[in-house]
Amino acid sequence: MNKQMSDKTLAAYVDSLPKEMNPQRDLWPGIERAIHDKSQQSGNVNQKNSVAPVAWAASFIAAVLLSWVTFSPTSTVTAPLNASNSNELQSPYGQLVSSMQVSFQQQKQAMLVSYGQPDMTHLPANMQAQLEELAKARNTIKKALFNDENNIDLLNLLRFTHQQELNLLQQLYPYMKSNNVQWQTI
Amino acid sequence: MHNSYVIDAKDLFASSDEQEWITQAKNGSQTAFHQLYEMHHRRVYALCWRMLADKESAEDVCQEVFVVLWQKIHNFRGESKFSTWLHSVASNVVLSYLRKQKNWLQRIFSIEDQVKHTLPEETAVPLDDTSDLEVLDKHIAQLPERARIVFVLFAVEGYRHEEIAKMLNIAVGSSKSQFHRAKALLKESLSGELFLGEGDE
Repeated sequence: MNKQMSDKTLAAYVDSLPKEMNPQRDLWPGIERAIHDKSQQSGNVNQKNSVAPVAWAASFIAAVLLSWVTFSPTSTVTAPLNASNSNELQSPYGQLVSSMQVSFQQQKQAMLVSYGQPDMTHLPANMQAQLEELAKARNTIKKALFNDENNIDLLNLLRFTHQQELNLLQQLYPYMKSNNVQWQTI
Repeated sequence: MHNSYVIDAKDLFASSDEQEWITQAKNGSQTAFHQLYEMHHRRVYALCWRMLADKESAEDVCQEVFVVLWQKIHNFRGESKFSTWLHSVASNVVLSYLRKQKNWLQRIFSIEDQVKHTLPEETAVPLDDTSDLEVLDKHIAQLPERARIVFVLFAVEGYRHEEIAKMLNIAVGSSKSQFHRAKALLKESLSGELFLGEGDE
């Protein structure tokens, strides 16, 4: 009775094998997590690339403003920022500049709140450098506007700088989100 | 014969959905990719289980297959059936997994050196792990590793010996001899367990 099985019978058994098997555990959550992590990684690479134009724009603005402040005729009459003109400093800009500044701060604050008030000091050094460049550019424009509050070019530059800063924050959001847990534990 | 027409119609609709999901997955849709997973993961898991003969490893590698698929789905040009392409991806992921194992070389050499093989001494899978499996699957799981891989790729998955030799980096003759060895071992072990019908020679 211990007969040897034929090739034909074995082949028939192989043909009858089920094509599918069910894993005992649900494999999808692990796959989903892995592909999400990989998407985040590639997103961060893209984000690094997208920061470069902002850096270039910030540097350009800084260079233009440096030239402006240095060579503008009005700069020669700039009052020194000391205690003697502190009253003037309390409202140094025209109404338009002030409202632009208020609007920008509100937008920035709302954006940061929506991101969960991340601690910006935990951003990577290159991202912090971009934000600092933009802040410097903004301050230089404001200094220039102190002497020429209705200068259309300066106002446009200020608006452009505000927008660049908001755009940069928006671009940093995926990074902030992906590192949120780490920040909470710090 | 009638059933085959019904299956073809089902395949036709499934294929249409599949094409749409592939396109969407290529564009980054995880929802579409999940549909592809639902459609194919049982077959991929079966391949992984048969090649690895271990439930835990098969589940891990099946996950890895779909992670690799997510990364490589752009490479699918539609020149073959998606399932065929996916199975070649899966086979390669399984073989990569085996190569990464610590004692891969050791196992290969020990398998090559084996002159005699007796199933009870080399049981790779505990019986309770295979309790839901077909009888043949249980016996395939107990084959020596290389014989099992060659048998599964050739007899179950339909690869040619030339393709298997390339995948495993072995000679075509080695692939053929491993297949014959697997067949002989299976016939021997199955003959002891199964009732042989009238069609047997």
